Amino acid sequence: MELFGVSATLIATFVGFGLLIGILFGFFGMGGSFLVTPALLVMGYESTTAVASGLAFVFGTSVIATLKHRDLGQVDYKLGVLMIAGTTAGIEVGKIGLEALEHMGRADTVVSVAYVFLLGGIGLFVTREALKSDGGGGLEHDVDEDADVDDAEIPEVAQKIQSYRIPPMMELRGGFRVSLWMILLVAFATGLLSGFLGVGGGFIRMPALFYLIGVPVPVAVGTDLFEIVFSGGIGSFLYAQSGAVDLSIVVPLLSGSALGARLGAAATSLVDEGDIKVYFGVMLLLGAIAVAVRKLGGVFEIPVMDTVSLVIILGAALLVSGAVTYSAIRELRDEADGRTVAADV
Amino acid sequence: MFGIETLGPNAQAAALVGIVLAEAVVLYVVYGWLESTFGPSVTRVLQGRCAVMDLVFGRCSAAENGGARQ
Repeated sequence: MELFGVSATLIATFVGFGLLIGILFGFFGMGGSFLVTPALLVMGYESTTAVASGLAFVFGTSVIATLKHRDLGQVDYKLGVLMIAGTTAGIEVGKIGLEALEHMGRADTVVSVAYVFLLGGIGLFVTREALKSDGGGGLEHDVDEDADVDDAEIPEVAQKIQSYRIPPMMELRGGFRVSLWMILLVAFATGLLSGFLGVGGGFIRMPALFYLIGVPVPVAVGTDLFEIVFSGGIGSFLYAQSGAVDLSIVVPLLSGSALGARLGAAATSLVDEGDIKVYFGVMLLLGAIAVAVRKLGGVFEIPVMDTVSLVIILGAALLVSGAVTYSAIRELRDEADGRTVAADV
Repeated sequence: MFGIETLGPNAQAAALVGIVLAEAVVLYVVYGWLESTFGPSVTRVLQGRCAVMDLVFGRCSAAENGGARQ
């Protein structure tokens, strides 16, 4: 059976895959192109189609997830606009660095190695922090705009950055103040890495907003998504000019991820981040391993390693989205049990 | 797909981004309606206060006391 000239099985596969990615995207504000592009490559799509369709999909999903986070009061528009400005400048400089490496004929190797180390490094850091806090030390997901954030809940590096009182100072959601220049510096640095590695950068920006600026995690996620709406939209337009975006991939993926993003965003209000942070770190680590495996497969010309890489990525996505769903349902059940006990008393 | 192939590169790119944006907004509204309509019942099923079949046959509406046992 076919719909719009595409097999129903393929459409169902994309819808299911989209649901999985949507949960991760809605919950963490990352994981779109990082998961979709390798999957499309292994499915036999050309690299430009895989990258362009992945980007268009990320654009659509980020629109939905941002709207949902906006409803929950988890988007800081002021911070988002500043991050867009700093990131755009950083991406331009990063691209210049990448072009210089291309002239030297070393871009592919350097970028792959940097990608693996960065992904692995952030994964190790997040996992270590999560284990150090023993699963219960994370910030609450519910954000009260007027409430001051307890210093103990802000990472040390962020406290240091917040202590630099270079005017003008910006008041951000969560009730704390950071220098405008520090925000632009962090945005520029994340944009630099993003442009250099040629990735969307959600996995860099979201931890950077939390660990470097001290933005509460849900606001970091919502604000990151708000920024992806713009970067994803512009990127999709540029790729679409050369006809690289395939709507038969994007439309079904988006219909699945729209539901997943809603579930993921809703789960941020239920699940204690400490329970999940360790899975997030592990997913990044597995992502780094998957990229390394694919790269080694290319160097040693072993095509099956592409499939191994995909299995690792899909397994990691399934594991983490399953953990998010399980934790959300467990919280709902605990909440219900608590109410029942209270009613019985 | 969607008959935009006949347009020029810029118009086609703009149409494509517009289609993705429109799909995203439509899905947001439709899933939002589904969530507000069926969300409370599905939540009660997930909480274990209601059976799946009760949800299917529309017998899973929220009680005034939140469904707690009397």
